[in-house]
Amino acid sequence: MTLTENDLWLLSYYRSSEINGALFFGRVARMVRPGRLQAQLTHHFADEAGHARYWNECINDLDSHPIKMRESYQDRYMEAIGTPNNLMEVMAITQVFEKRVIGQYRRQARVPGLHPRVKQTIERIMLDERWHIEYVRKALEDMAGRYGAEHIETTVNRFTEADQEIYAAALAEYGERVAFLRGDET
Amino acid sequence: MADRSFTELAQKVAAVTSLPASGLAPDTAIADLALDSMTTVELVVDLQEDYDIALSREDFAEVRTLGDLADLVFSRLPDPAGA
Repeated sequence: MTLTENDLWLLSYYRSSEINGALFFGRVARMVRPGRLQAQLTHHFADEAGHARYWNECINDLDSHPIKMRESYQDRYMEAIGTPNNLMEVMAITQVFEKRVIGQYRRQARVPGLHPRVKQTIERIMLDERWHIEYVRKALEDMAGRYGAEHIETTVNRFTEADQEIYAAALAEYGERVAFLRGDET
Repeated sequence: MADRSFTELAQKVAAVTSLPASGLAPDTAIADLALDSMTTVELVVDLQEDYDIALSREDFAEVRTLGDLADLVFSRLPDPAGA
């Protein structure tokens, strides 16, 4: 079975987003001071790079090659939310984004007739994504003394609202390529 | 400008941006550095991590030049005399 044009585009988009995630976390991992968060961010960076590889291999196994693209979902965050001004905002964006990623992959995994190779890739990635959510949540809790728990909560809520708008705009823009995802946007 | 040397901050900015520190001055407009969004994130977070300070979105509202940035960063450092 070969991929349809839309399937190839979407899986290539996932690959591109994972690559951008790796590039992002690679830079974040260089910023933070020595300690547990430094190790976790380095792990996260490696996970994102691994996920890009999984998608590349999945697409190859389905007799295709990823479409060359620079576009990714993360690009839309900086445009909509603005540049994060501190490490807490970086982690808050990460939490919102990781939840979006899990939701997106979960929805994709439920699509009727999904190729088993695609499902296998999603399930493999989801194992890491759950850990990402957990360590980021804990990191934000640990930042309460420095930034204030209420301020962190407000920031996460603000980014969550922005994410919902970004996702709705992406679904509208990508049209038929992601038609199967409509109707359950949150 | 606060007690700490601008040269110190300029060297950190140069390391993140790959621009020569010798070309950075207190009146250099940050907008003129033409940093992409990710490099801007890296710069502001790197400074906060290095100096162990926390800055908010509001803190950056009036920052236009590297001198403004240095003033902001150094004004948040703990007083070495503990005053």
